[in-house]
Amino acid sequence: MNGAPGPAGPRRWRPAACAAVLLGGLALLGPMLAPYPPDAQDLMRVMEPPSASHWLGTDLVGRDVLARVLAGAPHSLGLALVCVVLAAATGMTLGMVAANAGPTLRTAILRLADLMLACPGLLLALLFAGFLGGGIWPMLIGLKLSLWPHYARMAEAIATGALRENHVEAARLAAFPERTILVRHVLPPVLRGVMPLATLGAGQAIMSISALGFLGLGLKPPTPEWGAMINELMPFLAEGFVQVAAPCAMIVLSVLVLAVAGRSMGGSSDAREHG
Amino acid sequence: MVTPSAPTRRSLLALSAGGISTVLLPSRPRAGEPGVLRVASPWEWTSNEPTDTGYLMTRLGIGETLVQVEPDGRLSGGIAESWSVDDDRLTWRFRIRQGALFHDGTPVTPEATAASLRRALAGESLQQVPVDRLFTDGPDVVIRTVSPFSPLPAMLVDYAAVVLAPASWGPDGTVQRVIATGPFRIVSTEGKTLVDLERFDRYWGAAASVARVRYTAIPNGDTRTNVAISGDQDIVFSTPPAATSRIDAAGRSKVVSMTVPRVRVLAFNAGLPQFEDVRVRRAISMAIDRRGIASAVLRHPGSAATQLLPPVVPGWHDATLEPYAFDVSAAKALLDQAGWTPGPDGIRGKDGLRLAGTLLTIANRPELTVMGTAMQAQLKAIGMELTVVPGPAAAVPAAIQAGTMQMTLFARTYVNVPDVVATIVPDFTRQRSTWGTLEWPGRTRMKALTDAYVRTFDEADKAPLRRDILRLIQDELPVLAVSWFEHTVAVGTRVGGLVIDPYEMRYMLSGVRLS
Amino acid sequence: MTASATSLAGPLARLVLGRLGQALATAALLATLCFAFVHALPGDLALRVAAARVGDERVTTQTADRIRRSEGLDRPLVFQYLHWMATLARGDLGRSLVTGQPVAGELARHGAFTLRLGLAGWLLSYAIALPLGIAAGLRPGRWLDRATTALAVTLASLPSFLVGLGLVSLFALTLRWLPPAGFGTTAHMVLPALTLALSLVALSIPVIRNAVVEVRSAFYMTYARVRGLSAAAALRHHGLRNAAIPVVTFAALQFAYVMDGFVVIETLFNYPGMGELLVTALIARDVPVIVGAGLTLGFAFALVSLAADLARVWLDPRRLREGRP
Repeated sequence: MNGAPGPAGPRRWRPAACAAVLLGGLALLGPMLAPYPPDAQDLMRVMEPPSASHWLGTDLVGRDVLARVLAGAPHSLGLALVCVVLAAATGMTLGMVAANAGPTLRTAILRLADLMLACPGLLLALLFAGFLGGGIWPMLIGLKLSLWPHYARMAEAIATGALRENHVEAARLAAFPERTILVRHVLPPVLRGVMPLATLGAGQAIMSISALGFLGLGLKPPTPEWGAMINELMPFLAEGFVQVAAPCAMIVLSVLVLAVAGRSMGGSSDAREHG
Repeated sequence: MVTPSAPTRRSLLALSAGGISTVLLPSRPRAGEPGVLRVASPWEWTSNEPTDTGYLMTRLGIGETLVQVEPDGRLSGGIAESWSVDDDRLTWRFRIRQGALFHDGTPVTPEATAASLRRALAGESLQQVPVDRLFTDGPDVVIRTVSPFSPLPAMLVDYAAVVLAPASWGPDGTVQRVIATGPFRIVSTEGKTLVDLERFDRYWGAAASVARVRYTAIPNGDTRTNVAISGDQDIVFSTPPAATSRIDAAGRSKVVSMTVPRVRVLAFNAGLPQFEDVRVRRAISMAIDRRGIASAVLRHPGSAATQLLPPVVPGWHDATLEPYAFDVSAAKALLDQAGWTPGPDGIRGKDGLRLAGTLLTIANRPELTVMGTAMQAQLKAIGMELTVVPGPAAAVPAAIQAGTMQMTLFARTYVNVPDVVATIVPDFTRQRSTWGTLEWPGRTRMKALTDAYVRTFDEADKAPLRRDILRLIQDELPVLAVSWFEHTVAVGTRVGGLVIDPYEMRYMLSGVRLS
Repeated sequence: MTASATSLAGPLARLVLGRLGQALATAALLATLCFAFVHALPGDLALRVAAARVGDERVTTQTADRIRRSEGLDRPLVFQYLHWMATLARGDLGRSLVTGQPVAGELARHGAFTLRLGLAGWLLSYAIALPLGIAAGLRPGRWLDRATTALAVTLASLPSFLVGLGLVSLFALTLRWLPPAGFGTTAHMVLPALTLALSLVALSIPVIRNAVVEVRSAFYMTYARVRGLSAAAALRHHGLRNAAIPVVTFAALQFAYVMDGFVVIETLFNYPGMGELLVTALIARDVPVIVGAGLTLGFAFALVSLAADLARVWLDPRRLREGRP
């Protein structure tokens, strides 16, 4: 849980790799693991407590909650992971370009980032959802657009600092190629700085998607999206605690796994000083 | 050497400590004071215009119309103490109540009433009324219609016809201040969310029992549940049905409910080849498990509709009508008979056309989407494919007007005015209705019936016409009712004397007592 | 004249003036984009406005037509845009299509609510995160670091609506110490501010901690070379000053993130702030309100960004000399 850094280098990446496999696998295979079709209703068996046939009980129209939770993984989880990978890659590239570029390009990139940042992400996603008629792609575009500037500004701040470090100046004096300097001296601190933000950001994206679903503004029912499930089931909390808790737990656990993975990567800075 | 970091940290902490207290300074005592009735409902005070927010004015007892409806359906005097129609059946005289006062203390005169009414009649709500002239005659406001129009008094219950004092309007013709006549008057409003009211001591009728009312608009259903559980509000209207047991268990409020003439209906585009045959519409009606939906989704088996309107509306519920049946095999047989045969994927088809439809529902009413998905599963059982598309509420009338609606599931109140005919006319007699039928061939027969109804002044002659109207809807199913609304109110323990109005015209707050 | 004024003033003045100009440009651009975007949205704008005015179930196409005529929505878009620009040039943001109230007033009222909530939540979050983050970063790997990290990770894994729901069911529904929703009193403020603060804490603890750790390790390298300077003095001199740079950048970024939180928190707690205003305006297609809010948010964010830049210049004046704030 605390992600204390391991002594050896590759072992630090193992939890992260496991997390990626676990969550990515869940996002890809979840629907196939579902024991029932996620939309199969049975109005005679609504809000049933967990049983042998329905491990997590049934929801308000008698759908299997386990099936819905699993089938919801691509929407709630997969979408978020894709968003963040795209956003972090875009953001870091632009941030490092900005740090290394002349004042005009730098100002242009940072102003663009500011402009996007001034537009709240959820609302951006909402605007896109309204514009393109809802669904997954508008959400993806909206969230990605709202996320990349965070990474860009972070990367720029760190890269600017790194470029001024003595050893970078020494490398410049030694006429190392600019690309080598960037990759060897700028990328590592940028990655270290961005990684905790990105893993938390993936969690944020999961939470943004579920928050939109919870507010009834996100993916449309009967899509088994976790936030929308919580919204649907919340009034039944008294009689169906397990059913509400299941999607909540999926959100929290997914974000937690990401956070732990991020910690183990971010731990590299600790290792440097202990080692 | 001065270190920059220490002051930064210290000043930040100091700022946070001091900042939080200053930021939080504006403080009003938590409302729970004796004599203040705290009321919440989903509806926001969007504007001062009676055409827009009039329903809140009448519900909260701020504004009144000429005629009012009692919870049992009787019409009673509001600003008009009585009314009559001349022998020509065209000239209606409304005797304005003597001694009634506006909230600013000015008397309610026939002239002021007529001026206010003229604006209301210009609006769309009352456009059905074939008004010829509106004028004053001594103590009366006189409305002359072009043709005999018997539901006129009922039409004047329309909230758009709330009577405001002449001083309410600014030079640009918009309402600057709401100066009305009801038992409560506005002290202040805060945005769309809060309306503070006080008892109007010179009200013409029985003065309200509580001195002050604080109204809070809470659009979110879960939040309404929470304030009912915590006892932060004395009366909470429209609590989610599923939350009733939790609210009751908490002990601060008790949920009471009543089946009201607000209906969740499924409407068809009867012009489409898959829905033009009445047998298909009947089969769909038979395939829908209304009771299952009502008990599972709505948590109230009694709200399953058996015909368009619930028994609570006098005259508009016909107990002799054959109720909607739930019979999947009969539904399949009907489709077979109509020539729709199952295709390879189980979906029926006819002449190369699939038995499929897009069901437009309203996203803001989450239960509609759930009902839509329930119907999606049930219709699949008879070989029909339904695609559920939740959209904004305004998409429904827009799709009907554009002619693009295929099927739609929405909630409609049939008593915007107490005579249901006022809603039947726009919804069932037009090629493209307001909220209802589209391209329904039966509309000409319906038009003949409603025309006869509004020309008839004798109650004994009206009853059979009402029955014919209801029978036509039940037989042809241009629109089929799925469930009736269970109007829920969480009533706090210190509240007594609350009466629920099935017409949802008034919250009847003036009769409420606080212990 | 500005040219001579700026040349006379130092680079700092140039930075401030330039940034203010950029702020105005950003705000105007954002507002224009909002205007274009809302009009480009599919569906009948007047119908959506009508639904917001009279209620979802009462809206008719006639109402929409009345509003279209009275609000001039039937005029060409270019004309509407120019009209809006002209009104704006007079310092008037126009009137809401739904309420008919001046937009400036609505923005001020909702903005004040959000500012109050945001400030309370933001300060509360730093009151929690700064001491914890710095303490954890100074002694990485120790129990306090682990506990703090566990706390941050747990908090970060909880969506704010779940945090809010949890706080409400604990403090409002079970213990009944605080009201579950509403506004106007300090008691009403506690739960939403705490919800906001907890989600911010989760983000700021690791950033603060990592920044402190990063600088601390860099400092050890300096320390190895520059003997003689005491460790504590060196840390104060170089350490926290440099550590503050990413933290300040991040704090400014949080401001935008906070806006997202408002949408959820204000809906959950029935709190009439900017988030609530924007969502309802967006649903109602209330163009003047959306555009006005875009203008305000854009300007506010640019100001926060400027404040962050100034803070960075103060922490590291080299940046200004190099012309990069």
